[in-house]
Parts: sequence; structure tokens; C-alpha cells
Amino acid sequence: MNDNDVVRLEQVTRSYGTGQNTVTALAGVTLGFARGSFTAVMGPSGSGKSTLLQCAAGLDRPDSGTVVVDGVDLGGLDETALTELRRERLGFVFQAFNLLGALTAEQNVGLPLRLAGRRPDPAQVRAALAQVGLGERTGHLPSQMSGGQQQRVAIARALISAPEVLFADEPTGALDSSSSREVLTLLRSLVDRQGQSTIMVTHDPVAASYADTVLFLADGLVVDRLEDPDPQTVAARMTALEQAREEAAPTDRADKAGTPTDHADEAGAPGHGDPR
Amino acid sequence: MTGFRLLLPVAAVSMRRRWPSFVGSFVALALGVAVMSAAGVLLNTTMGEDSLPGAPSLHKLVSFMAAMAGFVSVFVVSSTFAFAVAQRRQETAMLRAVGATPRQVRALVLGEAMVVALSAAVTGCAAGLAVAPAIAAWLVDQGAAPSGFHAEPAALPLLLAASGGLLVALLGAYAASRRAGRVRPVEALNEVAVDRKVMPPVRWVASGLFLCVFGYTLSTFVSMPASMLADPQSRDPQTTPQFALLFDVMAVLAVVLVAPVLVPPLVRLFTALVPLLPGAAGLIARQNALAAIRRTVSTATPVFLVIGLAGSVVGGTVAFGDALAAQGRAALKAGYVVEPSGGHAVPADALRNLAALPDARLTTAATVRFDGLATPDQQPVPGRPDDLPIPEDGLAVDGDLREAWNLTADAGSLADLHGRTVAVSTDMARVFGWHVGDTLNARLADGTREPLRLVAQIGHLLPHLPEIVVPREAVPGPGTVSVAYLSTGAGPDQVTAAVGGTAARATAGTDWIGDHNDRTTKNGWISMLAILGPALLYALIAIVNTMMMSTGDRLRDFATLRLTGGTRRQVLRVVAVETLLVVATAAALGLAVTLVTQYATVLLIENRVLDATRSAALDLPWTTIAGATAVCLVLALLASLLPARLALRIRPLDLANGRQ
Repeated sequence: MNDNDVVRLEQVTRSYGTGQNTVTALAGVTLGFARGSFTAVMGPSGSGKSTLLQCAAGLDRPDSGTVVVDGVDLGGLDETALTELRRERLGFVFQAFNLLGALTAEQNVGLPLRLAGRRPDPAQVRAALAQVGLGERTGHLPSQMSGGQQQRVAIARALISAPEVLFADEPTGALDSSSSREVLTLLRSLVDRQGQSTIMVTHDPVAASYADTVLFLADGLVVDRLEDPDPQTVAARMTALEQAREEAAPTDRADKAGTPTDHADEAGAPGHGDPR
Repeated sequence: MTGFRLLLPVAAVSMRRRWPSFVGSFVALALGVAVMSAAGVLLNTTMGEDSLPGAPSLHKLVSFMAAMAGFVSVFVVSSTFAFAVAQRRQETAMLRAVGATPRQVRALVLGEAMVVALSAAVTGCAAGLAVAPAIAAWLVDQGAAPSGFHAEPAALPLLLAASGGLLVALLGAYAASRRAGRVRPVEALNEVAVDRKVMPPVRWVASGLFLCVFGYTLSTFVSMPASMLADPQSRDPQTTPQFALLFDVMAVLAVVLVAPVLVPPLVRLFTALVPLLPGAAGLIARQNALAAIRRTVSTATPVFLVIGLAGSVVGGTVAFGDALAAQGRAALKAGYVVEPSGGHAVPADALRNLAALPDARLTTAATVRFDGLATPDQQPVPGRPDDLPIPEDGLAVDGDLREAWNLTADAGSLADLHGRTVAVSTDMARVFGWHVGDTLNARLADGTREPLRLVAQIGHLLPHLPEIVVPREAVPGPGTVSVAYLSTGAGPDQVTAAVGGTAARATAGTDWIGDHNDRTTKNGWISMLAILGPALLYALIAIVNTMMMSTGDRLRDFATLRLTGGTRRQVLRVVAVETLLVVATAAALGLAVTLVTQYATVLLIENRVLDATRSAALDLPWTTIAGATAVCLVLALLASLLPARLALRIRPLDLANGRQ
């Protein structure tokens, strides 16, 4: 924990539901993410990894504890201020791409600037698209692009406001393996070339192996940490974690099925997408 | 069929989840059937009663009400059902992906539409039955229906309204379900598909058809073939505004049908500068409106119906009223019109006093009811009536009518109007094939028969004069005077003094025309309100309905905006700007259609109301258009912003993931 941390969580707790149905997603997490690093967060279903990301990114508010992003304590901000901070200093990539279907790639990328009340500089937008390898597809609509291309547009959009931190929630969850590889290589190169601080939640050991550091969560706490990961080691630790969990509480998973906790994890496969 | 039964649970689940869209379809159809069945019940009650002289008959009024309600319902219901089906594109694609055949998808979509439509039709009939007596009471209150008029419930109109509504709803759903069945399974993964091919050929054909009907009705009303002249109601310039509604509706419908082609260029035009400006709301609104043309058209249709119909009808009514008054003022030569202030006759003492005024020229006249007017020796000509179809009022004149009115004779001479003679309007002479010199057999209300020689055809039918004019000595009866026209060198004070203390009042000519005109105009407004009211009210509700449905369509976009850094206020601004864009587009189309119908009105006025020496100016009812647009805008904003606000209370992440 030092001043170089771009995101810092202290004693953060978050639980869902009330009374007997209360489920603890984060049980007092204290954690720092170093500036310029690429961190992957892993854990079994219901371990609280998505909640961790949402609290760290100001998309959700913790029940207690503090979250400091780029020197700003999020607890002191109201909803509008929080939105503006997210817009100015944070970038997001989601499993479900979340592009506006009516806007072209170029327009989607320029959207955060417009939301901030600025007219996007076309050269800047094209540069951002070129950076993710989509220099030629600026005028296409999302429906005319492959999943991998759409996710790269989403990354370009996240990068357009030069964010301090890039948050990625299962960014490869909806992609095939070659598109996944492209997207992960892109994220890696952003860290290497520009020192882009990146925090990624994933359940895929291969994806996690692209990070500098992998954090393992279980039952709302950080239980393990791995530097310079490789897929095999990550997979082995995950298996161990899941086994430990089943031995400790064989009935626990059944109890938890359908509770709000797993909503934090299984978020947004497009297959689950509601037509609305 | 087994396949369909197995899909029923899927349909049930899907209905539970997409209830707002189902509620929207239900409301649209239930109200449409309610309006149609209420008008239908009234129409059925007035059936066979088409004999009221003068103003358009109650039966015609109610027929127009039913027709208008029917037209508006057809468009709102079919577009709402089609919209509801289009909304579930992604779900449809999902079904296709897991192995549903296009046929199964169509069966599912139609089955659901059938369930909604059946329940809505039944509800609508019940509501129509409840509303019909209220409309009848209003008509009686306004003097448009005789006292004692009431709605008599009948099964046939209800059945027709319900089955008509059902048919239209299912047709709309069927067309959309064919599109839905063609959705490729891979489209399940696309979040928003851009609408393609929104203009099927059938729309072009139907629109062209309406345009032809528009042109045909307009030209027949301008040229007035004998068959139409035969109906005294279609020949009376005072009822022309009601008939003008026909081509108003045709023009509006022609535009509604080609809306998918007209809307995109208008949206582009209105937002041409948007991509150059900072800010997200304008750009997103523009792109959304252009990408989802079907949705834009569905939401713009009821707005356009309100603005276009209100603009055309109000503009037409005002223009006709003004033209009638202008023509009346130009034609009235007498300085004063004297009428009884109580009773039915201008008293003799008043007439004596008036005649004693300096330089006084007095023409008196009595209203005479003609039960018939026919040429006895004439062989009946096929396709041509040989007698008045309904009793008509004529004017029996003592003195020279040309002293009171500027009248010209197309044939014969008004100077010959002495003894057992008669003059009729040129229109009437044409209808019956009469010529100057013919002897007509008049039957009066008291049963007397008088042979009268036709001496003149009055050139232009005045809105303030009956079509039949006879000299006083031609008809027997008491010498009562129902109206007197006075020209005098005396001042207004002297004229007032002359009738003072008698049961008569003298009104200066221009004022009299004005009063007379206000009365006809008021009747005209009541008719318009009766014809248009239910349809307009329905269209206004449809605005709220489609706006709410379309907001439900966009929850995912809202979430994406929030996650991209948009504040709640910015999301609401996007919704507001898009609504504004839709209303502006509809208003532009409404203005365009009003321009066309007003031009048609000018043609009609010049041919049917004004004499050849006068022309009418093209005037647009700006206040009405602005007012209708404002009402639509407020409703549309409320109906889109309120649900959006509610939706924004949900966490953006849950919205994005489709949870609530």
C-alpha cells in the first residue's frame, strides 16, 4: 500500500439483501492497485469479484470503508459528481460491449467527450480507433461488426478520455478464443506502451495470465496473490479454491443459488440479454 | 399445431416479461374499438333518418364521425401492433437460434396478438356502449340532434367494430410477424438492428390510391356533376366544409402511408448541424431516430394525425366561414335587415314606420315551405329526379329582390318575377333539367298546388338565401312578413326609432351578415367537433401510448449511456431531444398536408362559395397548428420522460444486463 496506488480500497464491505437472506459480497477488503499495472481479479462464483470492481470504479457504493480513486475519496461525491469523475478519469469495458446500436464506431468512441460537453476532434477519435486496430471501420454500425471488433470499439471509447484507470469486467466473456486473444494482447500493449493502469475481472485463467498480478477472492476477501502468472498456475489455484469452498460448506452453494451475489458475477452474457 | 401448443408456455412467459408492450397494444385496440362502436351505435340509431332540411343531417354527421374514428383507429391499431412485434426482434432471433421455424415464430406472434386483440375488442365494445349515450346527450345539448335522441344499443355495430378492429390488429401483427419470421438466428447477438426496407410496395400502392381518391373527390366537388347537385345538402355552400373533410382525410392518410420515406430526410434536415455541435443529446437523438425508422414512424404517426387533421379541419372551417361572410357582405345591397324580435312576423306598424322614412325602399319577404316542385308534363328522365327529394324552404317576395341583394340571372330575367312565376338557382335548374319558360307544379305545405312559370335562373347561390324565389302574389296564404330589407337615406338613429316600440328589430346589413355567419359557423364547429373529437382524443391517447412503449424499448441504451459517463439528466435530455425531433418531424408533415388541404379548400371556395368576380387567399391556420403541436409535445414529453425517469432509478449495471 503506497502513494503510487491509483485505486485504493480500505476495509470495504458490501452485502446484498436483508435479514436471513443477507449475502456478504465484500467482507472488509483492503487493497491497492499500483499505477501503471495490469491486475486481474479472479475467484469462484459468488466470491465478490464483480462487486469489488464495481465498488472500486464507483459504479456501486460500499456499505462501509473508503474507496480512493486517483486521490479522490468516492464516498464524498454525490451521484452527478461521481458520474463526472467516471467520465473524466475512468474507462470501462464490459462483457456485453454496451455500444449504442444507432451510433457508428466513430460516434460511439466520441460519446464520452460529447457527454462532457465537448465536440470530439475527428483526428483524436480516428487515432483512438487506429490504436485498437480499427482505422478503417470508423463509419460502421455495431451491428455490422464482429464481436471482437465491437469490443475493440468499446476499448477505444474507454481510452478516448485518457483515463487514469481502465476497468474491464469479463471483457472476453462473449468472444471466441482468437478475438479474445486480440483483445487481451491489445490491453497488454496499452499497459506496456502507455503505462495504462488496468483492472480486469475474469474467470478465464488464460485471460488472467496476461496481467502482471492476479488477485484471488473467496467469500469476500482477498485470499491469494500471484505475480507474473501463467495459465496453468492460475488454473491450479482456482481449482484449489473451489475445492476448498465445497469442502468447507457443501450446502452453501445450493443456498446461495439465485441470490443477488451471483448477479455480481454472471453479469451480462448477451445470451441473457433482454430484448428491451 | 403440436408445435404451437408446445410453444404456449414460452408465449406466456414472454407476455409476462413484455407487459408494457402488451398493455400498449391492448389500450390502442380497446380504445379504437370503443370509439368505432360508439359511433357505430349512434349511426345505427340514425339509420334511415336522412330527411332533415337545412344543415347536414344528423345521420351524415354521425356517418362522418364513424368514418373518421374508423380511419384513425385503423392506422393507430395496425402501427401499434406492428411496433409491438418489431420490439421483440431479439427474442424472435433467439427462438430462431434454438430451432424455431419461421412458421412457428409467426404462429407464436399471431397467437399472442390474437389473445390481446380478442380481450381488447371485448373491452372496447363495452366501453363504446358506455360512451355512446354521453355523445348522444352532447349532440342534443349542442342542438345538433333533436331532443329525445338517444343511443339504442344494437349488436351489429358492436360486432362490426370488434371484428374490424380485430382484423386490423391481426393484419398489422401478421405483416410484422412475417418480418419477424425472416429474422436470421445470428441477429440474436446484435443488440440493435438497424431497420431496413421499411417501405413495402403495398404502402406505395395504398398511398397512391388515397391520392387518387383525394384528387377525384376534390375535382367532383369543384365541378359538381348533376348527380351530386341533386342532393340539396351537397349543393348548399353552408355544408361544403363538412364534405371538405373527405379529402382532408384522404390527404392525411396518403401522407401517413408514405411516412417511412418522408421521415428520414426530415430528421436529417432538422439535425443537419448536430454532428458539428458539441454535446451528445442531439447526435444520439438523430442517430436513434434514423436507425429505428419504424419506431420513429410509429411514434410520429399519431402526432401527425392530430396536427394534420386539426390544421386541415380548423383551417378549412375558418376559411369557409370567412368566405361565406365575405360573399354575403358583397351580395347584400340593403342597408338594413328587419326581422321579428319575438313571434314569427314583422308587425305591420314597424313596416309602416319604416316605409315612411325618407327615401325608403322596402322589400319584404315570407318563408314558404315547398313540399314539391315538379314539371307535370315532363317525361321522367332516367337518372334525374323529377321532384324535390325533401321539402325545401323558398322565399315569397313583395317588391324587387334585386333592391335587397345583388343578384344576377344566368338565364331569363328577375324583372319578370311577377304573377304566377318562380325563379330557382342555376344548380337546381340543372339538377332537374328545367329551362326558363317551363311550367313547374308547386306543392305547398298546406296542400295547395300552383302551376308556376320559371322566369329566371339565379346565377350564384347565396348562402343566406333559399334556392326558390317566388313573387308574393304567386302563393296564397296570410300576408305575414318574415324578413324585410330596407335601404334608406335616413340615419341609423331614425331607423332604430322607426322600429322602436314594435316587435321588430333592424340590423345594419354588415352586422346581420356577421351574426348570421356566426350562427352557421357555430353549427359548423359543433359538427366538426362531433366528427373529429373522438378521433382526435383517440390519437392523443395513442401518442402517450406509443411514446411509453418506445421508451421501454430503450432501457439498454439508457444503461449504456450511464456507463459511458452520462448523468441521469443527460439521459433524460437525450429522451427529450428525441421526442422533440419526432414531434417536429410530425409537425412539418402536418404543416405540409395542411398546405395541400388548404389549397383544395381555396379551390372549393372559389367554385362553390364565391361568385366569379372574387377570389380566396391561401391562409394557414398557424395558431391551430402551433396549439396542436404544443399539446402533442407536452403529452409526448410527459409520456417519454416519466417512464425514462422511473427506469433510471435502476442501477445502470443491472439495466445493462437486462435485470430489474
